[in-house]
Amino acid sequence: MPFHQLTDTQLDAVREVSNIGMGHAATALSQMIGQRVELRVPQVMVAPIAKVPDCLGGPEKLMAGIFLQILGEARGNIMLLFPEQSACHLCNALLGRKEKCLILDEDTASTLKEVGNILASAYLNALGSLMRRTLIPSVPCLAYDMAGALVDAILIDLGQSGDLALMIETEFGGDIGREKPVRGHFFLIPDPQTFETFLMAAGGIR
Amino acid sequence: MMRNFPWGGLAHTLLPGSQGDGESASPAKYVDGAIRLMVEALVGQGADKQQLVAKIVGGANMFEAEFLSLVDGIGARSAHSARETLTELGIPLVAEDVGGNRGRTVEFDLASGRLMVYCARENSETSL
Repeated sequence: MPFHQLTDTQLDAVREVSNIGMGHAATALSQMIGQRVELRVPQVMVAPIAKVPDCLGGPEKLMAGIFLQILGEARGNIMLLFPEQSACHLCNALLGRKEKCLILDEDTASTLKEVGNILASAYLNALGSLMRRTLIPSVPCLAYDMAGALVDAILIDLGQSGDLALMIETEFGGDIGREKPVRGHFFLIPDPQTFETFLMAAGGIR
Repeated sequence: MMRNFPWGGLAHTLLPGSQGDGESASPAKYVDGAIRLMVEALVGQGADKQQLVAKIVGGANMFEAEFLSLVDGIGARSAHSARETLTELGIPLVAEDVGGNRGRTVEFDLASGRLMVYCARENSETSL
């Protein structure tokens, strides 16, 4: 089944789930750091995962990537990409630092992974409610490299199938994004069967 | 150095070997398939197989050591598959930059045969 193009109903449902999921994530982050956090979802689109680096400013752009697997009653992968500067500002805000560029140490690595964990858990919770499935995120892992290399790592994991990604642009607002903008991209890469179940739940397969 | 050999090819592959996968629909995705396709194409264009040499770059593991499995990672297996396929085809491997945990990007100059390897993370540049 070709599912490169979502219907308007499906895209609406995806947007709705994304807003709910990111809303939960914002609450969780706010509670954790005791500051107001807003998460906006300016854009949702479906793209072949191999084309993702081109959408984000080229395959050689340095990015922090957080990867998680979806476990439970549906399968897939989650990838979060933060441009170097956004990752730096995010770590500064969460750790109370004032670095100019991302310095990967135990604290920043752990912070980025925790952000990934919170966003993924909240998102999967919202998605799971829609799909009536229990979705659990795996332990997150982190890599800091060129966008092309990060996406290759996901493609290797996917092997043959499921190379479409749901791309959810995420903007951090509130106290976190006040001084410097923090933007990231949240990618949901369900395996084909899961994508079908998901689309059914999101308003039927055209 | 100018080479008197106007043929060359560059392949970017994802997975180590297509064995056990049957006849794959996209052999270029696999290290062994891509090498064979490249050699076929070069010889088809009139290149002398005896004169072909190879350089391999990549095979990194992007994640931290705590997530490395006990068996070789995909990267190491890809490098292994490349060496094996090249040996089988009788093509000498003249240079390599493999392993580690950094992503690399390459530029191949057909005229000189030189392969530039860039690594954005360390902001380094090597010539193979």
